[in-house]
Amino acid sequence: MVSDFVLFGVLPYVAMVLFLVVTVQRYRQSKFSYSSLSSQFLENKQHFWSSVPFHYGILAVLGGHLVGFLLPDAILGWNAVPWRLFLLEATGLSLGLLTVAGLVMIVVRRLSSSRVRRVSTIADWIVYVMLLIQVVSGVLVAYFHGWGSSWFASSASPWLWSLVTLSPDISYVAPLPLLVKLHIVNAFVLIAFFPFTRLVHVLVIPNMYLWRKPQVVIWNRGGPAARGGGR
Amino acid sequence: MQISRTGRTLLAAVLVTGALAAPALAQDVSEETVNYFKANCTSCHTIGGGRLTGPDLKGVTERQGPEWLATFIVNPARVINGGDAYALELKREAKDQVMPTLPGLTKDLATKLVELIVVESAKEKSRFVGLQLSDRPLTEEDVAYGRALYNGGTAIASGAPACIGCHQVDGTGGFGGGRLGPDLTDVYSRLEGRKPLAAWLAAPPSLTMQPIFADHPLESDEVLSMVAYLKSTAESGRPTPGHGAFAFLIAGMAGAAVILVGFDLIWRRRFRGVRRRLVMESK
Amino acid sequence: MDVRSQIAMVFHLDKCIGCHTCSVACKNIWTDREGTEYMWWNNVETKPGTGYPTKWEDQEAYRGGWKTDGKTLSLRSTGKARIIPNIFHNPSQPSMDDYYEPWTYDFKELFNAPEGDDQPVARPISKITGEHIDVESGPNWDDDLGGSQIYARNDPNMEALTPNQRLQMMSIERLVFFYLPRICNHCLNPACVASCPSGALYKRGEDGIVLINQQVCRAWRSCVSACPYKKTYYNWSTGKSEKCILCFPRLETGQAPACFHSCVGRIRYLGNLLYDADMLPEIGNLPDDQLVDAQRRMILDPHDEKVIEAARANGIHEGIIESAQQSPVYSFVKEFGIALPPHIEYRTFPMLFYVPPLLPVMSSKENDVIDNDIEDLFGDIEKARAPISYFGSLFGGGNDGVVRYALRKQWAVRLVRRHLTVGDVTKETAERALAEADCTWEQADKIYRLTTLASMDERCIIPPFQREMAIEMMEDPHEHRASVGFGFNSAPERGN
Repeated sequence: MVSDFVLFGVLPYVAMVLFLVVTVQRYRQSKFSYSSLSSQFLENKQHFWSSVPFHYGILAVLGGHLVGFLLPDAILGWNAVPWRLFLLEATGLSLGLLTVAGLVMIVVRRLSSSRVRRVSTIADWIVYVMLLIQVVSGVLVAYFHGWGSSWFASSASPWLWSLVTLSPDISYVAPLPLLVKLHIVNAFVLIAFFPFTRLVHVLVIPNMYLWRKPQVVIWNRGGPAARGGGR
Repeated sequence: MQISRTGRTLLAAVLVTGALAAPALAQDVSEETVNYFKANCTSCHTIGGGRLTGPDLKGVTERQGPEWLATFIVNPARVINGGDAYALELKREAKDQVMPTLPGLTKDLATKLVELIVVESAKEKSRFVGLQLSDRPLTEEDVAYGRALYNGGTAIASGAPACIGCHQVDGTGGFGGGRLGPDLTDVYSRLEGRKPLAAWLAAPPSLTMQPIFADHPLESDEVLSMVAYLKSTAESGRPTPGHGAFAFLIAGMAGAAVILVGFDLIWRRRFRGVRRRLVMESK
Repeated sequence: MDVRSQIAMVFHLDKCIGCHTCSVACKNIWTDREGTEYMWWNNVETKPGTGYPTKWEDQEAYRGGWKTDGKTLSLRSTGKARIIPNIFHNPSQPSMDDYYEPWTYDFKELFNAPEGDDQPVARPISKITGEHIDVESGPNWDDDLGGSQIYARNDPNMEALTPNQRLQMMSIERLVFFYLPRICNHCLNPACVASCPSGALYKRGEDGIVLINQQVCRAWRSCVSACPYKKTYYNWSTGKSEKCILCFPRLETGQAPACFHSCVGRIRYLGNLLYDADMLPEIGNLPDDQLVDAQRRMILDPHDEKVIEAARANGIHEGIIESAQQSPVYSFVKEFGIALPPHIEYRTFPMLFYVPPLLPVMSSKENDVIDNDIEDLFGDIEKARAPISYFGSLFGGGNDGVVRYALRKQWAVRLVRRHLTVGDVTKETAERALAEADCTWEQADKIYRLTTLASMDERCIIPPFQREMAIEMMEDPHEHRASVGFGFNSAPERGN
């Protein structure tokens, strides 16, 4: 179907192009706007119960998707024994539910704390709605259309690789249930919307910190900068 | 939806680079047709191998003219609904199973397919004679091997994923089989026996399975074992589509709860405010 | 020897009258924007008291600064690898409730209220949400010992005192307090810089001013937790952290920072010090009570030929060496030894020093007779109203000796001046006091002059910043002049 082709053969490219072009351009033009925009300062009790479960949950779940994408055979190999399959699936569902719980707390916190409501923008709310659709549909897929860890490796992964190799083969995903399609389409819409929202903070996570010298010293003119600058 | 490889590449090229590339024309038309037939027709039809879900196509042009056939292939449902007597007879023979309308199938391609059937029918043994399974009786070993193939204990030789990922079969235990595809406990009786089920397994026609199994078909002894296993489940078990789902949900919620408690423990010394406590305690 | 120059400061606490002019000067220039209303880059606290944010000295709760195992320093909050698991929720970050919620008043109500029996009231409105709030706290909530039963009593420095001393400090006849103005210390080993995962904070090589690059800050808030003095602040509106910049745009044009400039009591001194950066790793792990002396060792004598030579070799300009030689901070910290760093046990090596207040007993009352007996006028510093160990906790890293030295010397200078001006103190008494205080007539005179007579130009020796040379190296000065600004093409507003 043409609509399937647009959703699974065109949208991913549009989303990725938007993602790449806009994030780079935004970084160049408005570096200042790259911030995690933390609101922990305004409210830090509910913050723990929303931010921590959400971030750990979503990172673990995304990591799982990434492994399914990069090493589908490893997943299928692990799943070859039923109890291992069940363990992986139960872990996945736990993390998914953890993410949902965190996200719901995030929304509740944004609504209930007037200080945090003050710093919530329309873009924030769009992000939350899209994330809610994403994680809730993900959990529902895990529950109603198991075992995703297996069929992701055999259905979604080949499709994703066909996208990577610029020869989109949508026959893998076109016949999947509506819920799964929603999950996929919303994911790419999210990627397309990503660079316009606070989500860009994901891209500026500290990576050099672990290796740099503890103290940062910046010299105006020469000075001992030749010796490395820092202490 | 099937789009020619060149078309796909072209589309991707246009999308990503914005550059226009000249489409390369397919060189070998008959090769394309053969591939199309292999991919879309063989799960229900043989040429000289007997009836599966659909009729054996050997010498089909002697039963109906090429023009009628081409029209039927392009859109079977329309011909049937049009009240064509022969088409209705076909439908009755197939136990009311209507041949699906394949997307992207043009009249031109249908004519080529009919030509292919004519050529293949003339052969002593067509390459589309289908899977020739032994008629030997199914044994306990077959059942056990089939079960191992189902739950992944023994890998399918071609590298295809194990059935458990998407299908429930009674007796799986634990959280049960997958729930993407239908419950297969009684598929043996649903598909009416050994031969149609074997044909199904040899080249799964469902749109979800097709792209996966087209490149990773089951070998004939694997098909036989699966048939044996599914026959045994059809005889002893009954479909339990929701099997294990509740336990799975409970396990997931318990896992999430354990993680939350773990967070609270790991960060039990987290900062919880100084001033308000100080004022409260001093009052 | 790795000689570097650092802008350093001295606040003379006996001169501070607690007028908050410095705080207001700073606020009017730097923190009157949305998101910064609650920030006081300069604030003045009453001691004993819990300060701002409440009880900031309690590092068991706030976990700021460095800790040592005797060999290596590590951040008490989230240094190095520990930042990763803690980045989603900073486990040692104070919230606005520990500072205060900024507010204004509903002044419209005063004019618009319908006529009635009661006076209209302007209720407080939150500057964050715009809603009516009950004001629970403010930046000087315990000013002049207000609410001392809660605040002064919970001053973390009280823990250094015996229960008896604590009781005495709180008894009404002996009640004592002084002011502690605080700005960023521009530390030599800043915990905020070391904690920043993004590398947004840095120390300027030439003058040691600690700054936050707003373009690089990503709001991980590590600096807020790591600074034991709680002198980095999170701007909730822009999603960036901000801190005292020591008015570097003023310094670079030869003007004193706003808080120094506006100081009514003339308590503030500014000048640059030369120090040996190589010594930092070795002294960083010394026991708490040796840190004050160790920091003084690190500060080098700008008149020493060897130091000058090493400074030149390190590319330090003549003008900067010259101003280091005139620095009043050097005199107070090293020459006189009467200025002490606040809470050096946090091991950030602050470059703001305090001259501890003498707080003498001026008169006593016995049998309904007020006694102004001149013999005891300045009494013994051991009998001063605030126990030495209180200052030992605040300024000595637990070492009362350095505090006693500073107070005794100030006491000696007072006796000398009393002898010279009023004459009711004998020369022998003054000389005995000088000898006991490790002081000479000349030094006493110098302390007296610097403390009381010094003009603005003598209190603030601003080294040449030579921005023009720095600019010349990068680009054409004319072009720079035409294009210079604050570095933003658009207003620094919150992103999406």
